[in-house]
Amino acid sequence: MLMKTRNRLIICLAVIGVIACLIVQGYIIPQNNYEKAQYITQQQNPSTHDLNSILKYKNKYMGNISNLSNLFYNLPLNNLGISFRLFPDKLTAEVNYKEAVWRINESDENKVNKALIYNSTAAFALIDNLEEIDYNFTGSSFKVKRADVEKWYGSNLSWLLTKDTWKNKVQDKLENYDFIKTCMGGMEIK
Amino acid sequence: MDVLRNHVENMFRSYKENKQIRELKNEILSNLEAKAADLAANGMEYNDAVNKAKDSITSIDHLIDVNIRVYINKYKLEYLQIVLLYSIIAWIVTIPLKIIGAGILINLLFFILSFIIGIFYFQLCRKEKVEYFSIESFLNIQRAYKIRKIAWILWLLFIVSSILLTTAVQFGSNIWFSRPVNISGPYQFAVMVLRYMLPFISIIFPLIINAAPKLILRYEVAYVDENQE
Repeated sequence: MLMKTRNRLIICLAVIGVIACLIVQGYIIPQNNYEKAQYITQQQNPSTHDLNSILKYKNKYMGNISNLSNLFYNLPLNNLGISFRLFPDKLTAEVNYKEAVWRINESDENKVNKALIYNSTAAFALIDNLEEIDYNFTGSSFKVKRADVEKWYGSNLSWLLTKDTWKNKVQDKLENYDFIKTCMGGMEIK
Repeated sequence: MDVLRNHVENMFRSYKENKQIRELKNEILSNLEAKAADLAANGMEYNDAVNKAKDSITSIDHLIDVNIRVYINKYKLEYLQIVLLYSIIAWIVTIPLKIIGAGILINLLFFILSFIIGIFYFQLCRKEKVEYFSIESFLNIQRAYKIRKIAWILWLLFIVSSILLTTAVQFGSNIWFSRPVNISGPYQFAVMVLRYMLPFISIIFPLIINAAPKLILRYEVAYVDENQE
């Protein structure tokens, strides 16, 4: 009698197992993979980038190369080859992208401009003593100073680092062509 | 007489030496020697007499107190059923782990295990011959209890070491550098809890071993026959 009951239980569990496997393999895992892929794509776009993914890189000192490089590896344009150099005496970081601007801008003419404004804002808001960032692309360079970014958003940039403020004051503004033009004025040096 | 001594030693090879076993060995050996001598005295060739004495006793399992006569194939059938049940439960429990990419291999192993045991169990169930399920054999209940105890001790040791290992891997640097533990969200918390919980699935192994003494007693010939009457 006990064995018959156990046989029924085994059959029921086997059916439950097969159904659970089908749900997990056929629906949940593909859905998760799709969401992950979508999230990675969103991280390339300054307007949809996730602020939470970079908050952990808040640091007082720009001399921490691992913190700074990890920050840029979690910001838009991270899919390009990147290298870094620090000039602590000048409180300057050099970020080198191994790609030409025109190639990055093939899909959106303002892609590099938006990314540079966004990445600079994030870096100056998160790293307290960083004063200047020099961006080098193949064939062109850009220089951004803390003072420039403070002109766009006001002094003490760390007030921007909350979800709503970041969305309204930083991300949404990147849809404004005039704002981009103003920010980029004088940024390109070569 | 060395031939008879070797024969007796061979019959007792699976038993640990103790007072009862030693006495039994001596008694059987002296009986066999007496029998061989008696046969030789009645005109039989010495080697034939020794062989005849050897053939008169080929198993001593029924003479050991802790050996229980069981319907061995009924016992095997129910044991296989229990193993199959636990294996399927372990397979189902590990299915959700695939969502976070942990325990994929363990889940696959339990699936393969359940499948193979399922085939064996199904084949055994199809045997409807009464004679097949009437075959009797001896099982050592004391050994089954001992193995059960060892299995639980080993499992406890495994759990303690896996908890320590997981803690060392997860929080080793936090402990070493006295840094606070940072769990950034519910997903990370769930992953951490799962890392601790995953080794507990191995409880099915001591549970399977745990069933043996109970089944030996359930399929004891005397007990089954008494219940049938």
